Amino acid sequence: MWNLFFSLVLSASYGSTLRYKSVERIKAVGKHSLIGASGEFSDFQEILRYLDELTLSDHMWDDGNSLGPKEVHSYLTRVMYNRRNKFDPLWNSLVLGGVKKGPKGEEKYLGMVNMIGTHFEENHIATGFGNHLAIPILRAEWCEDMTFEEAVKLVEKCLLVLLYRDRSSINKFQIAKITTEGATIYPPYSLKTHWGFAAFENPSKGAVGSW
Amino acid sequence: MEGCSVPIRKTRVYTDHLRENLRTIVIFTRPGQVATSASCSFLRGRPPLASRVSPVASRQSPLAAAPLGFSATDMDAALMGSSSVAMGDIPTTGEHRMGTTIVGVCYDGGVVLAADSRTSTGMYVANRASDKITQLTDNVYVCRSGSAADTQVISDYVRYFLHQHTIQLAQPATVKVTANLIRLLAYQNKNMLQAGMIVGGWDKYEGGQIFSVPLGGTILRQPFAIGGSGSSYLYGLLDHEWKEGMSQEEAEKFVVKVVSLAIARDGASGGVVRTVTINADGVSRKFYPGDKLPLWHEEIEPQNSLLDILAAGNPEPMVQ
Repeated sequence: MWNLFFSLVLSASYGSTLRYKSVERIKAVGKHSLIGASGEFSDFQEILRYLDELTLSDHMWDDGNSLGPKEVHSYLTRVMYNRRNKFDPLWNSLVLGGVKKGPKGEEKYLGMVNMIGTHFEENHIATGFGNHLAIPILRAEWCEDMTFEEAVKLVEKCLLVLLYRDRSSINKFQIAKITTEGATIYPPYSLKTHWGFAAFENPSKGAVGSW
Repeated sequence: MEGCSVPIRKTRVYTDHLRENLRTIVIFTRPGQVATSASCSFLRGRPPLASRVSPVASRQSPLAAAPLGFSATDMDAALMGSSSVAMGDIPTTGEHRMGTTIVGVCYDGGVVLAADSRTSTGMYVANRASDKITQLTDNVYVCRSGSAADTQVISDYVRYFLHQHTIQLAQPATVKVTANLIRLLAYQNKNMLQAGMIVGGWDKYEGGQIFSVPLGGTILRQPFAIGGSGSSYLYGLLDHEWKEGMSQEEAEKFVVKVVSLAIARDGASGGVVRTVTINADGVSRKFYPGDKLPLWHEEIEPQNSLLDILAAGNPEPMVQ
């Protein structure tokens, strides 16, 4: 039984202002995939419209088959790369994941594509600051057969680090999960932060006059 | 509403005649209903869309990204106009901008939209009593901020589309459709426009709604929205004092307070506060002149003249 996890912050910034603080940046795509995005929110809204068209046409074939995460990722890659070639990119980093039955049983898929068309598939993906702060944690602690609880704890560890160290983050997160049963996007929630370190209370204790 | 009795056949002939300048936009409204409208380059005497229009008569394919278009001359004029700051000169020319403070707030039963009234060209106040809250249909209004010209043109196009849409639908347009029309124009022309708008209105399906359409063409439904340069000074205030489910009177008092606080600190906002309240019963406009607004920190009671102060006796001596 394969599960896939997405988590992100509910924030849309405008320069350095944390302008919108309840923005949901994960959406389900068809029956088998989830998409998450960072970057320009208006372009993400447009991408969601394209995906609506795509899934609608797919549904209208009425042939019992539906687009899986690999297919959706491929479509998005073409869109992003072609826009890049016209010097008019969709300014986003997209994470696409899902689970679909394939010839070898249930196949899970996780990939990303960004505004210049770079795309790849991996067991753990991050965008923005997550590439620098979260990926090292995931590389060290991810393993093939994690339970739901272990995965949530791992993802929350990354989110907390990003909350401490990324200026554009806020303490409001959303986690989504996709399995063969379908997508579940959990409601927004906040994490407790930890500030009770002696060194935080008295940073210059051992060196009076310093900072 | 004029134009209600225009027969459909007449419309079709008109559109056939202007086929080379047409673009059709398909808009999904409620499930099962589809509305279409045609845009025409002879709108209000604007110059033809010329070489920028690609003859795509159906929904945009993701790879086309062709804008609804404005002619190149508009953009040149805009660019030329704003580079007028010579050495030591106070900039007094340039594109008309509405620095602005605009606010939209949902209350229990409808929405209240509010705005200041200052339009500036550079450092000069071109219009100190402008009306930034514009009607799009009977039940939906929009607050405009950014470039005056851009927002006026967008409002005109959307009013035109909605007029036809309302005829075809045979009932008032919804706030969501209006906001999405604004979004379409703002998003597809994002490289050329500077327009931050707040759409507010009332319809029978969802009641009072506020939609924010900021610079890039994002669309977001919110319980309240702020925009314009003056809004920087309001984020903290609203975080502190906003509450859900206000009454109409509370909401109107609240927005007047909020806009007047922004006017106090933002040089690009000023003049009067206008509000528009929209609910099931209709629309009501209110006007709060600049001299009737509350006084904030470091602002003092206005007088007719120093002489009045002296005449009242006991003036505070300035210098001993």
